[in-house]
Amino acid sequence: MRAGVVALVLGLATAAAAQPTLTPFPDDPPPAHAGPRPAPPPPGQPAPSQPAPPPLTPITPPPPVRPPPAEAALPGVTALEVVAPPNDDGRHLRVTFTRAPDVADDVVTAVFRRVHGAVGAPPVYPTLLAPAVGDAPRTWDPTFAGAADLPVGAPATGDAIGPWTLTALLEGGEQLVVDEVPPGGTYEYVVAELRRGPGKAVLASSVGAAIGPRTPEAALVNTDRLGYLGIVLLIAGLIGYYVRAAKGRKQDLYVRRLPGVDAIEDAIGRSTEMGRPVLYVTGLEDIQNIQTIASLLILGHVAEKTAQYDTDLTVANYYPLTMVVAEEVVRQGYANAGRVDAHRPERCLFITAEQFAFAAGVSGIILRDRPATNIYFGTFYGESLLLAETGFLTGAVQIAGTAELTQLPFFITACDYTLIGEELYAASAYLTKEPTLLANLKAADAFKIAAMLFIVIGVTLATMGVFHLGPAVFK
Amino acid sequence: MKKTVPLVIGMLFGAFALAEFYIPHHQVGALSNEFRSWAAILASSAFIIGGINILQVTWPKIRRREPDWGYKVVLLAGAAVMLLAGLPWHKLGDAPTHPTVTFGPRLPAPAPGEPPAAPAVFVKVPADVTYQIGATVGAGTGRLEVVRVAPGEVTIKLSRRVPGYATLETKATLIERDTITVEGDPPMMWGRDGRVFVWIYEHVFGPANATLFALLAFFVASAAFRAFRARNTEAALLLGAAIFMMLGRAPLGGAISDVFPDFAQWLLDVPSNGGRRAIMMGAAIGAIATGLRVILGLERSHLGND
Repeated sequence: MRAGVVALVLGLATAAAAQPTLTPFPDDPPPAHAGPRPAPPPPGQPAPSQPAPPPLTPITPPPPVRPPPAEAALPGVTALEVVAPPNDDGRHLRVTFTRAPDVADDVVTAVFRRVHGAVGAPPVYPTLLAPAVGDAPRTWDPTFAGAADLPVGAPATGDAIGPWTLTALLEGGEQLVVDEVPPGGTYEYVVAELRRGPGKAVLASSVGAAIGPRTPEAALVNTDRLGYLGIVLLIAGLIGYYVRAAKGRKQDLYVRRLPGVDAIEDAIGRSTEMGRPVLYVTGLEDIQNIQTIASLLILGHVAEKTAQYDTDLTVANYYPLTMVVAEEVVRQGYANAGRVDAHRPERCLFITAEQFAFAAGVSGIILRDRPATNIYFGTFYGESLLLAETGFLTGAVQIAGTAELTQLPFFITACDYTLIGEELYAASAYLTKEPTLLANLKAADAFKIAAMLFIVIGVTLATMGVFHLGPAVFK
Repeated sequence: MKKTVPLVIGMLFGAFALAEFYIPHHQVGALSNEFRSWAAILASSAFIIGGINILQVTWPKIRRREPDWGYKVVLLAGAAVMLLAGLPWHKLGDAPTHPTVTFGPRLPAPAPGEPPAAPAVFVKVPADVTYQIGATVGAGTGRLEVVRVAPGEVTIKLSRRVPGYATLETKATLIERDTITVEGDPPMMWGRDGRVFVWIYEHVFGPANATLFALLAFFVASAAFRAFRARNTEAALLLGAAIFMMLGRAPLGGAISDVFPDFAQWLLDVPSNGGRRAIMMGAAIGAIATGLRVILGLERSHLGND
């Protein structure tokens, strides 16, 4: 028999046949010759809970069923542990183990999983190798369960062997696998080392280390994100506090001037005097982007003003869904001004969802219609300067606002007014002058002071080597 | 009622999206995926509305022969051509999906003591077709070519070098002395991966896109020229920083002194980075506040006045 050709048995496969008293998993269906299960508890007594996962015990190599090994067996893995990862969604189990030192490069680690108690195959673990035929190397057969003829092929992740699934085939010496499992199940694992030969056919295997049953656990709160939840709750609390305070006040809350927002009404007035339209661009992101949402909130105010001034408003959109919402926002703005009849839906345009084609389309509108005011609020990328420079060439008053850091210099250079970062989000509240919304700005400012204090304290503690505040709060 | 229902729907879905970030349970994730599917369906439907919008905007201008109406014709014609080219017409017919494989007579038995002959694959494909027989890759010449392979299962693939054509693929199990003939002509595909669509995209849209992007260099130059005029203290600071940055990044600055590259890097790492972080943090806080404003129902301007 060719050297290196060994009969492979996973886990306690052959133990079931050779040593009936050794069962790897507590709930395994007993073999035919095994004794009966323990009697159920008497009525009135609680059923025993699911047995605790057995501690890892070295697996006694069972005597091989198939041809005896002609060379020293591969050392198996030790310290096998399977646990549910913390903060998991209930779909994962983390498998860790320790490989023997000095494992050869042609040895890979195979991780097998089955549903706890699955009995779709013989009650012994399947042999992984086909029987030897002549001098041909042993080959892997995913469907081989111990009774078939010579199969062909190499093991691959996802192979099914009876009730077992090869969930991972680790070729880089990894000793950790996070296995994605169907939620709600209980699983058993076997980890074995495989030596592969030509064509990645398996030549030899270690005895598998077995563990189980294990159940994935779905967490209800991600504790790693509690720091972020604290920020949101703190801001929400500050908003609540300032809204309450604002309702009790007789005088307006003080909010610093935003020249870019103040300039909107002036620019619309200029458009009216010149008899030219106002162009509003909602940015290059879809409706779920917070900058697009902020842009659409401002659009409502701009539409109301253009309706009051009886000036045409053209809205250029990158996505059709944004266009649909923008049209509704503009309609509402006209309704707020009592000018629903003046609303022209066809002036809310879907240009295209291609970046530079959009830039070309909007540039065409700027050059043909010559709007006296161009407003760019939202998310912008490389086309920002193309738009702003084209608008500059036509002599339009240009107001831009974005939180995209890379585009701010372009807008600042080419536009008359630029809302930087948070000013874009504050603009809608600033325009309404409603105390409840201005209270929102005050809350954000209060939180900024808290954040500054946090940074100063954190930097001081870290510099003094006392404590790293940031990593402790935000994992 | 007209305002309350949208407000409540917005609050509920917004609160769910917020809570989902902190609840890792898979059932919450499944519900979130379901909502995302709804959003995807809405977004897809909106593209139909977008197409109708383009028609509504451009067709009247063509009919009234408004200035530059010719461009609108090009727009609609381009959209129509891409729509037609983007539909998978090839699925209507019975285009082949795998090459024709014919088993031929077996090779002569080997003389005693000699190993049996390896299977032979005769390939007959057009000149612009590439073939893969097992591990052997070659280009067709229009003539019959022979490829020897090892016994066992052999993968046979025929494809064209240019994109937009189907790949014909099959498998054959061969033993010693087998001979097979492989023939096939990968058909042209339509649709997003089809020849016409890909050709227009690569040869018309791609160059036009690149041209427009290249214009950015000139716009940057003109904008920089305006920005770097030292009209006030801030503009003078900007001009000074820009001069140091250009000298630090260009080989000339390094040739004059090592100070320029080091100072340029310091400008990026310290003042610029500090400013960027401040803007980012301010924007993040503003985004949270705006989101909460909508979720809590404080922001109602998009729903109209009472």
